[in-house]
Amino acid sequence: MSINQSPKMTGGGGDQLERYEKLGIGESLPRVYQYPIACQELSSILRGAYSQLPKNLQSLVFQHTLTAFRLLPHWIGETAPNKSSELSAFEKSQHLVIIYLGSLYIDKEIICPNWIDGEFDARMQTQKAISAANLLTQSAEAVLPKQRRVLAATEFRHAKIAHKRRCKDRQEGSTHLPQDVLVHIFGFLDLQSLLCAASVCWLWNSAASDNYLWHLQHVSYFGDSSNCLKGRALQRCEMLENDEHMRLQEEVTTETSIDWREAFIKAYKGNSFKTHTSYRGFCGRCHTVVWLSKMKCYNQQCRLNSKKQQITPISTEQIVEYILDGAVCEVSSSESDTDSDEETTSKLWAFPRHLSGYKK
Amino acid sequence: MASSIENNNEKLTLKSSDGEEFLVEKHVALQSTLLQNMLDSDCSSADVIPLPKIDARTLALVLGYCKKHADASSSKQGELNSFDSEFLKDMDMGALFNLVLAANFMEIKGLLDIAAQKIADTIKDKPHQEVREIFHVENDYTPEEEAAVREENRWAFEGFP
Repeated sequence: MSINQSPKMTGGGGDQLERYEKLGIGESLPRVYQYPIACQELSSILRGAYSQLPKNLQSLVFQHTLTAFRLLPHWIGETAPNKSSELSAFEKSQHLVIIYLGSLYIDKEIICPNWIDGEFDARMQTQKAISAANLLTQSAEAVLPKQRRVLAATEFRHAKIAHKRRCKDRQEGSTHLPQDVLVHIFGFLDLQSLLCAASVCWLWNSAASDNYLWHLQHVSYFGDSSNCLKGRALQRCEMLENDEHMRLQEEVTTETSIDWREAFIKAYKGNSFKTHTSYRGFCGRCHTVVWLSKMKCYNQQCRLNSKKQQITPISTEQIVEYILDGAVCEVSSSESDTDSDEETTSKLWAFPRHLSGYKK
Repeated sequence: MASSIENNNEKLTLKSSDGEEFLVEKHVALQSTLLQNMLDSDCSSADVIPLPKIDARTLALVLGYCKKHADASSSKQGELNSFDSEFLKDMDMGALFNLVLAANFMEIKGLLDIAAQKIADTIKDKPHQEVREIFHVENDYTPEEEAAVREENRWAFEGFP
């Protein structure tokens, strides 16, 4: 046997050394699924037996401890199979052990935010590795003599730094954007893209349902409603003349805070037969026609100059006008429209005035 | 007058999450509302301000942005605009995410807006499957849930080709 030829044998205690070597800790450490278990064993050995071991075995245990720390950063790059069906029966049983061990202690410091329950994820594996290494370093701290203790602590520190660095590298390109940042980003989206984003995952869905975003959509489709906060009383008088507004107000009377999503959908659906007559809007800033659904001017320069562009919905006739003259008449006028006056009041671009009393 | 010039020359040290230190002129740091509030409340007693959420690479970019905006006078708005559009050009998604997070953390409104706009442009007009791939987002919907969400949002896509 190879251990008999080992010079370390001369120190005696061959039985213990032999038994230790049979554990195969040295070989197990580099295997991602066995690493946490091997670390556990090492740490138990350190705590329970180290002081009673012969010097050569002490030295071997110490070397393995250092190896364990050195290996820690590598687990980040390791890709474990994603689906349990891809695992062999042995690996499955290993998984169960690891999951059990992992449930006992989880490193809160580096816990990855987006692991998915039930999926055997590489990230989860990494957590186990970190937990096990943490435990091992505690044992080393408690048991090893000073010089080795310092060495082990240094090794562990380096490993942790390297690990974090790799962890960060890995995370680049994957989204861990918190909800408030997502909401901010979604604020730049048009209606259709916003709803597409909601179909991406639950977190995005919840960000995309943010009331603020729907208020934004409401403003961009139906005009600025913030003026209703100012002269509310005055506007109320104006509005009371309007039958449609009365109806709307009745529907939302007791609401103190508006569900803008609901309000938007209602207003959008109510106007859909109108909006479908034109998908276009006119950017007052850079004088170009844009898609109405975008509600943001695509002109780079225009976008940079002002975050709040004035996009006004325009009719097909006005597009023709734009093509011919390069300009569009004041769109709030109804000159190009054949609708009667009564109907004009419910036109898309005239809508904000009625809705401004929407907020109670 | 003299005191304001003195203040302009004052410097602070910012420390990134990976331990790198950046010497920054105070008026540059003031682009960040977070730092501004810190300086206002704390009388800048601390020598080094740690920014544990921002790595050196990102912080260097952020400070580059702040410096440009702090140094440019308001008359150079056009120049700033072209700087902004160049600033994020060819930046990969990972770097962009770090940047948007840093801008959010440090409360740098202008930077947050241009980074968010750039990310939004990536999402825009793409099917959600493609967005998932680009952003490496795990789909945690069941097929039924996903269908329900899409059904719920169908109203916005009606009438669109």
